[in-house]
Amino acid sequence: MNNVIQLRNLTKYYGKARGIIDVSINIQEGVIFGFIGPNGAGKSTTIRTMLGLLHPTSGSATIFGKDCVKYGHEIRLNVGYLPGEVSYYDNMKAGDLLKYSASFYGKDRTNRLRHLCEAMDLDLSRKIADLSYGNRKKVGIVQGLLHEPSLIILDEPTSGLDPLMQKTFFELIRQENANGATVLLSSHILSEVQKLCSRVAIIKEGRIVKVEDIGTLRDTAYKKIRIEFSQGIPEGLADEPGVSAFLGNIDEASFLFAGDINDIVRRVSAENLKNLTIEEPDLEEIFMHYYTRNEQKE
Amino acid sequence: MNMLAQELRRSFRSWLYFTLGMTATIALFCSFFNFLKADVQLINRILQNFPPEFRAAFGFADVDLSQAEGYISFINGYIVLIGAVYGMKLGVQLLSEEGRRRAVDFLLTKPVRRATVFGSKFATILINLIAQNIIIYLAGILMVTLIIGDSVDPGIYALLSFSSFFVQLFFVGIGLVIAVLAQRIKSVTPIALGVVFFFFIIQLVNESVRDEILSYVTPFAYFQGSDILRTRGYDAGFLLIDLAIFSAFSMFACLIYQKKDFHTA
Repeated sequence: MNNVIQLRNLTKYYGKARGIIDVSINIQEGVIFGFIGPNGAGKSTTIRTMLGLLHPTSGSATIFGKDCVKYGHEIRLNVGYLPGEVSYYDNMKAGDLLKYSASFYGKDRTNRLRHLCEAMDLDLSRKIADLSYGNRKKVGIVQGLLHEPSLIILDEPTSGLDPLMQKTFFELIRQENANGATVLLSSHILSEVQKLCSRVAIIKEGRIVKVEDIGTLRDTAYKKIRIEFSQGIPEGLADEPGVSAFLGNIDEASFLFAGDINDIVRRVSAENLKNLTIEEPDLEEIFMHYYTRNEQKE
Repeated sequence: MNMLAQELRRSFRSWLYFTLGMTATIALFCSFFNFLKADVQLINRILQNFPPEFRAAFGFADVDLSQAEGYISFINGYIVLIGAVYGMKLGVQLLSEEGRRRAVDFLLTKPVRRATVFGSKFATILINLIAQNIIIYLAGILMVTLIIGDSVDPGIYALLSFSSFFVQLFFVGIGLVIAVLAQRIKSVTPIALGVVFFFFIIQLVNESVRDEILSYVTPFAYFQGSDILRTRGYDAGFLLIDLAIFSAFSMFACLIYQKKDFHTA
């Protein structure tokens, strides 16, 4: 499969302040790619550099095989972008803004506009200034998808959307993906990345720390184990090989376990247990664990 | 074209207010002329009581207010001042519009080059200014003929009236540079007023002290009414400096705009 996005050692400094350092990612056509990291890690800087809003200090970014700096205007013809913070010309009506947006891409988009507005339950007759933040976000979503882009870039897309609308939005994104669009979803909310993405890049302090399939990241070797003991947590449990993110509270211990599940079951079978649950950890726990582990290494 | 249409639509209200305001100012001043004419001796005596520097600074020194041309050149000085504020406002406003409204992410992620975006805004400025100056000229000459009544040479009136356009170009250039260098401009009017009055004060000082160097600094000195009446034309040197500053500043703003980083909205 072709790479839609190729970042090679992309670096951006704001004066002396760090933006991103040596970011290298390939995103293949047709995938929903997650970009996760805490606030300030460099997600938006990466995206804004790809979109030509920022100029890279060094390295390169190509989309559809074209350089983002040189051919930005050609690339953007097939890119739909939803920024984290949506702001538009306040005096315009939502409908006029969307028509203006559509005018950049040629082709009549009236039917598409109607379909998206119905899906997002958006009133086009109101002025942008009179819209709530959530409704402004809906305008952003519609304008990002209106021209049927083959690459959709979403930067923290769900802030301000109520849960019901989030669900509708994710449905729309899945549909676009099913129709062939590649999606880059940046978020610090791991559950939404987990819901949508097949592959993720983790960014920390401006550097990519891991690029992995979501399945691999939630590796089956990792299990989230919670045990309630009758007579207190046995000594040395936290130090067993494969045990991490250990949390103990009198009788109850919870931890992540990497390795052969039989080993840990054998280890605790000698104890008198009140309860034992073994489940798949969610991405957030793995992510935090991953972050902590890297910090410890450093 | 879509951007140009959008920019023109967005800038229309401000254009209308300024154009109406300038036209109304001409009408108001014209209506004073007949009263003034009747008491011109008295007024001249009053003005004689002011220090010569003061008279020079406010444009009374070189013109005869009892004559239609002199009076028109005097009022035109204030039309030029209002026009300058508008030109400056336009330069700052249009280029900083997206930054102020946090709409950068909307416009600059569209499939257009930044040079095209700049070009649309630049064309909007020129269209606004040309349209405004034509209307002010036509309305002005109509009012001068109807209210003042004295026959005024349309050529001379055109030179006086269109001097506003060239002063505006100077301030457009400065406005564009300020807009492109500032990371975010919250309010345009204070900047426009501040910069224009700064140059106007330099002109007041220049008029009083007659300093040659100061004449090159402020565009208000480039197209003085009394000089236009005396020479029946513009000073070619000043006109060239004015156009050179406008062109250089606009090109500089265009280059910076293309290289500028737009941070998180």
